[in-house]
Amino acid sequence: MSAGRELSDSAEVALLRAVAGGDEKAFASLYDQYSPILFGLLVRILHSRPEAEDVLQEVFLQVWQRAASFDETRGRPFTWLVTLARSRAIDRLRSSNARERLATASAQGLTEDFVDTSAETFRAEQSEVVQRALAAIPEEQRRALALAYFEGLSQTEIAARLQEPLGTVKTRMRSGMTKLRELLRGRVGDVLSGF
Amino acid sequence: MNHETYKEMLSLDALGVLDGEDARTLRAHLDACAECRAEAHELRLTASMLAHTVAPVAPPEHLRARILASIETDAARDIANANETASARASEKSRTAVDSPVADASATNVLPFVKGQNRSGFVVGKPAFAFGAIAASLAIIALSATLLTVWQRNKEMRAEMARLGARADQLAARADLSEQQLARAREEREMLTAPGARIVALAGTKAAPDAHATVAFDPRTGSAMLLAADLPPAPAGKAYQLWFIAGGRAPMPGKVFNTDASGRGTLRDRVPAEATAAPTFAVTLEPSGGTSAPTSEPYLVGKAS
Repeated sequence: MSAGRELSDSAEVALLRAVAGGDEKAFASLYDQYSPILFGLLVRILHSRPEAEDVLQEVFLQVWQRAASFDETRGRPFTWLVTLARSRAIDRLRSSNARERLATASAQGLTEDFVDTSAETFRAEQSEVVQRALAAIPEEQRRALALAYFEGLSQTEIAARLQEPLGTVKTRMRSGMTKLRELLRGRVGDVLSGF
Repeated sequence: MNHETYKEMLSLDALGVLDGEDARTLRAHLDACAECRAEAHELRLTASMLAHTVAPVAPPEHLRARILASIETDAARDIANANETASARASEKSRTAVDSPVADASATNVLPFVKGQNRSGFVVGKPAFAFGAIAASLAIIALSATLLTVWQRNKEMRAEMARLGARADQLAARADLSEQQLARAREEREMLTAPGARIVALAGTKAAPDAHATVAFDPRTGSAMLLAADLPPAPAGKAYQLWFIAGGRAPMPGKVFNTDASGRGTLRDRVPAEATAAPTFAVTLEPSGGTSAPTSEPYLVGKAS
């Protein structure tokens, strides 16, 4: 199996239901399926593999304990898992001195955009779609989105980082999100399924 | 704020960058406005798609093993709970059929014996079997009493373990905790979920009949945690001390601890290497600095089986 090939939505849901029922094999499959993308996300947010390992464990324990609370009418399992992982990572970031490491990393220009074609040749189909959509929106909007999503900064902090007025930064993020939503809607019907 | 203002906040909310006050007022609006709720949902899905831009990274293999092991511990507990519920239900059913002190004891664990009795089919009305039947009944009662005790203790230990786990969770969740405290909470959690971690229940003695405690320890590292409850308050200048007893040696001193107003005390310690195989744990009341040999009767005792 290639690391991030996507299951169909119904297979995803079935897997999560089995996990909710206490099926350890299903849990192992879920882990094998999603740990690479979640771990990639955690490393990206936390800039530390040991911290990312810690948080990945917390996330999967939470998945094991709370799979029953997943509500398929409110979104896909992927969305649920990603949201869980991101918010845990951001919490960790905000409560630790990881912020300082982050500032260093950012000063070196490592983290402020989505487009990183150098390291990884693998791209799942949906990743392609999202990358193309992002490439179609103006760079300053994209940067504002990246700072918000991956760095866990507040709007005020983003404005300070970009040395732009708060109003400008808010507008950029709003426009960026609106465009991204329209582009994703147009390109793949099922990407934004669930509503 | 009006509806349009809230609508403008939705993208920022989906990205998680709203400041605290704005986030709170928006939550309240979302509870009341279905249109904004639908849009908030769509924008959150959009934001989650951003995760697709990250290159997947395979986590290390040892992490997979650790995570799967930790849920197995969790699963064992769930299965045990489910069994209890099931046997409680079944015992309820069988109670009307079997009029015996065993059933009246309301022990949920008597079911296997009751079942066995039914299956073995005592033949009613054949005197030759009567003695056998009486003897069997007595044996069942005796066994059930033992099993009841074991089951009760097991249940208490699981409750303690759940409490320890919940405490570790609470500790981890409090954002204002120092790094050191977080590290300790993680360590405790790791100790509880380590493969081979052992849980020992300590019972109160005559000196403290209401007291009880649980020790969790990892035999490989000796790392141990004691959680005691309902101990009487230590008099001024005194404190409780933990002891490790093994292999006919004199009790080996552990650390001292105090209780809070409700009689609860916690302690982290290390089981000496000589005692990790099958230690007995004891708690005595000692001078607050601790001693090298116990000077009081034990207040709590429990043996790792």
